[in-house]
Amino acid sequence: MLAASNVTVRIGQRDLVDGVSVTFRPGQLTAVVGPNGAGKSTLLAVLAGDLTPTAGTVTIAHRAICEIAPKRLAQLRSVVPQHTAPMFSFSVRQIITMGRHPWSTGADDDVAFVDAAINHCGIAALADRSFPTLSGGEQALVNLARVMAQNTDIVLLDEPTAALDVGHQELVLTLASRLARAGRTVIVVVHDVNLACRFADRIVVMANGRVERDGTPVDVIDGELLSRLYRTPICVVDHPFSPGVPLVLPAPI
Amino acid sequence: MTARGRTLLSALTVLLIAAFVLGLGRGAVPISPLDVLAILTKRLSGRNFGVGFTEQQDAVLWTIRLPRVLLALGVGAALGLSGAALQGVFRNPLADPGLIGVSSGAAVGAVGSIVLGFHALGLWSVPTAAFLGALTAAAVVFRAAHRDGRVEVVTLVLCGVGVNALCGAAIGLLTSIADDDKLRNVSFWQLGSVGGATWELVRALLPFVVLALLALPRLADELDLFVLGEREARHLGVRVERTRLFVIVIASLAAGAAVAVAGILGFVGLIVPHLIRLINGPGHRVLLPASALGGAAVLTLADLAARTVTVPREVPLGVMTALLGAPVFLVLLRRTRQTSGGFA
Amino acid sequence: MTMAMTVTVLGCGGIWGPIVLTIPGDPDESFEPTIAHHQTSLTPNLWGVQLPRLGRVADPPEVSTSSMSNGSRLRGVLGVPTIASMDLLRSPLTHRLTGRGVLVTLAVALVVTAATGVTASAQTTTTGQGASAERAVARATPKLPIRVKSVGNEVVEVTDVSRIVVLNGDVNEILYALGMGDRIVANDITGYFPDDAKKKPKIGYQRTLSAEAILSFRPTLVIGNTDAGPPAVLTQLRGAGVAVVIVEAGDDVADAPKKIRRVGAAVGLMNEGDALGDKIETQLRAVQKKWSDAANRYEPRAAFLYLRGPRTQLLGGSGTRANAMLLGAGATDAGAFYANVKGYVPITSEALVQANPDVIVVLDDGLESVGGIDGLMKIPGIALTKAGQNKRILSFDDLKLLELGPRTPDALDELSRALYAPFKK
Repeated sequence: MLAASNVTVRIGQRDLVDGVSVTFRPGQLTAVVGPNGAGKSTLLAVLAGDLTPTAGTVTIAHRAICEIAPKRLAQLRSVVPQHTAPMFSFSVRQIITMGRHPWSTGADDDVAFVDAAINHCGIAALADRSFPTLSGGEQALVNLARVMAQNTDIVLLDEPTAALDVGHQELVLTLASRLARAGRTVIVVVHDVNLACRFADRIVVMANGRVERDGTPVDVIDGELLSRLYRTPICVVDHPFSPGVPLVLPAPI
Repeated sequence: MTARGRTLLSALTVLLIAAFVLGLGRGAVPISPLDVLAILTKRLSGRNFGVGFTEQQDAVLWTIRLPRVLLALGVGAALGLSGAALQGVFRNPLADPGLIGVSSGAAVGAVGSIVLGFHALGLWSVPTAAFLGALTAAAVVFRAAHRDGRVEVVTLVLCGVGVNALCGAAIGLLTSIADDDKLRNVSFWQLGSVGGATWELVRALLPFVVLALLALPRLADELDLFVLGEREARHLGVRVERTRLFVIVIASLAAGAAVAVAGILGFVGLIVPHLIRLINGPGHRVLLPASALGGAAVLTLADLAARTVTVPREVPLGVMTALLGAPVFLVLLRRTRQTSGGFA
Repeated sequence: MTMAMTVTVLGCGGIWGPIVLTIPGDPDESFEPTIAHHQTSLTPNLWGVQLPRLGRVADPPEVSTSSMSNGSRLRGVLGVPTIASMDLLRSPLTHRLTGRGVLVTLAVALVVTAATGVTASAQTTTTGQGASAERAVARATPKLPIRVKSVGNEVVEVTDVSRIVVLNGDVNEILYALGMGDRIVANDITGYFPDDAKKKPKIGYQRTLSAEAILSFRPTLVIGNTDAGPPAVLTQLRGAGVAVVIVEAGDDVADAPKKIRRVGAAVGLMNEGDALGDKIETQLRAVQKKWSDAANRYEPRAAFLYLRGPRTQLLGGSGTRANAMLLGAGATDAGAFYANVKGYVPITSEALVQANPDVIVVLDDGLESVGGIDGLMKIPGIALTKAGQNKRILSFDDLKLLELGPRTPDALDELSRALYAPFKK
């Protein structure tokens, strides 16, 4: 269980995150949405332990993150980055195997995890390709596979769909929700609210460093809130194909 | 370790041994490999295989060639290994010990002691001053780039550029006030050579090389992770700051000692790791030891060429490594661009 | 003058010699004929030294006294050498080689005893002064073993001089003058005089030597001056068990005879070295005296330029051998005196204008490297000097001018003549 308690991050004069308290539970996929500059990525960085908050604490199973040794922390939580640009041409398999670094299991176990991850993500054909030669979508899948190989209870995804086409977006989020189904705590920062609505069990809406709303997509997403936050008219309708799922559309001015 | 990696390391070890034996045997006074073995056996164990060699060969081998070849091996290993480690920790294929100011700092130390006439330690004056200069420059670069307990790679590289420029200016100033005699010594030092090898120099270099050989390959897996970026490496449990500091310190010590005893030898720390990557890929488990072996072999062979091509004159070793290294570098660059999409 | 001086010196040597030489217990009765032989065999042109005609002999008593005191200084009372004499030590005991306890030296010792050595010179005939003298000098056999002090090191024991590697041109020339030319197995590229030296195999350039290259000639003695380098090479040679003797290169005209004596001693030719050294010393005095009037009257300003192509153009100042020669010829070193130059500095127009020499002295190959006199005139600042305006450029052979060795008196004379030539007209 990952919990942020009254977290504030102040840089210079600005509060990028202001007094945020959220708790995340296993088996759930939580999407964090909000306009640019809302503090989503900053919050994720704090949750991942990259950033020490100016005030407040982050705990995993009631243990403060700052007290956990890096390698142990790496066994508890993993992060799928927005993109990576390795300067040297490691193979896909080598990159995924890097996810096993926090664990001191034997080489055979590592191979087993890596193979499983490759199969789950459906990238067997890419296994021996050189990572820098892959397309953006393929690289995103490899990053996800690496995190899968890392096999942590908590998985954080930082705008994983940012530069992906529709097909890859679906793939990545489907895999992420499968991870949640399997009992892990999954937190995704996304820009696309519709993706959040379709895949997330819970949505946290942030603006100006604060949490505006926190609940199921149906409860949280409404046109008036979004119009205010995004400063553009937005209307929310029922998704034509998925019952109970809102569909967010920019409204005509 | 893959089979390929093992084969590569074995091949490099064989190459190293060959370079060692060749280096001991060739030169102005030729000594056959059998005689080399006989002399070494006699010197080390007192046992005589029968006197096939002359006293002159014995003296040349023991007091001149063996220290020289050992020095070349040590310097080559130090430069190759520290180059590979620095490239990994900076995620920069152009990194080499010069990047963090080690070479130029050593040069300032050496040139300063020559021009300003610092002779307090006799024959050790110049190497000591060079070593101190190397470490000082690396420390300045690191301190300048260190903020809030973090070091950003780009900042570090830029600080390295700045310190290199400062050292270059200092060297220029020193050479402008030097008289002809000292200038000659200065340019001689700057070109790099293992010609002045003595057993004392070998002993002085040894601890730093051994330290690097023992300490750096242990970080092979962590250095692999650096390639994902510092954030990702941290996410995977790597103590980025500590590892980076550790690598820089060890690499500076090894490279600083190498430059102090042998002068400025470019390209070895840059080229050898690249060659290894071309053959076996970027995994550090093979890359680090292979760079050490490869660097040692390359420098020994280069020194052999330097002292046999234009007998009795010797081509300065730094010139030889540049002559061999620069074309290889350019070819490497082309091939890398073609195969793996280059270094965007 | 010279002949008389030489006779006196050799006479002294002859008197004391037998005593000295017999102390280690070597009987030698053959010295008398040698003295007489040397008396008649003075060679006027062995080294191109222009000896003044005998009619213009300088004050003999004064000269012989000093040479006598030289002799006594050398030999001490009763011919027993004192510690103060010339840093030479003689001991019947064997002295361990300097350096660490490495294995015995490379060479088999060919110890030539004085008994056989000096006798040989007595066998030469008097047919032709030059030839017999050369033969006399060539056959001079070294008295070994001998312990000499090498610059910056402890005492070196020289036991064998059959294979000598010479590191510098001046020492090379001195060895030839002492008749050891045939024992030189290799020299450096600055050892190009006399002609025979050009044919010897080369070990490289005196300042950038290689230990292995030297050892490949299997030397029994390596000898050079303080210009030889790099220092590590000398350390390596010593470490390999070779006898290495370094003498001061010198920076004053008076250092020439000293160097000659030291080289002579180092190869076991102490007497011959002293003799040659004294001769050169006397010649130097004579030359300087000869031109002293002109020097006092005209006081020319001379500057020395060291040139090596467009990138190395240096102005000489105090503490250089060129400076020594200029001062020895009675000129003022314009670089040192008017431009405060120490050592060599890159030429600047200001320095040249400040120095404003009447005469510019350069070396032959240096002048050639900048394209002759025309090329030299193009160097900024040259044309502004009096020397440039009057095109008074003097060029000399490198080794002859700067060697501080056997030809130095002659070089000094040539330099002086050229300096004062316009005035005498």
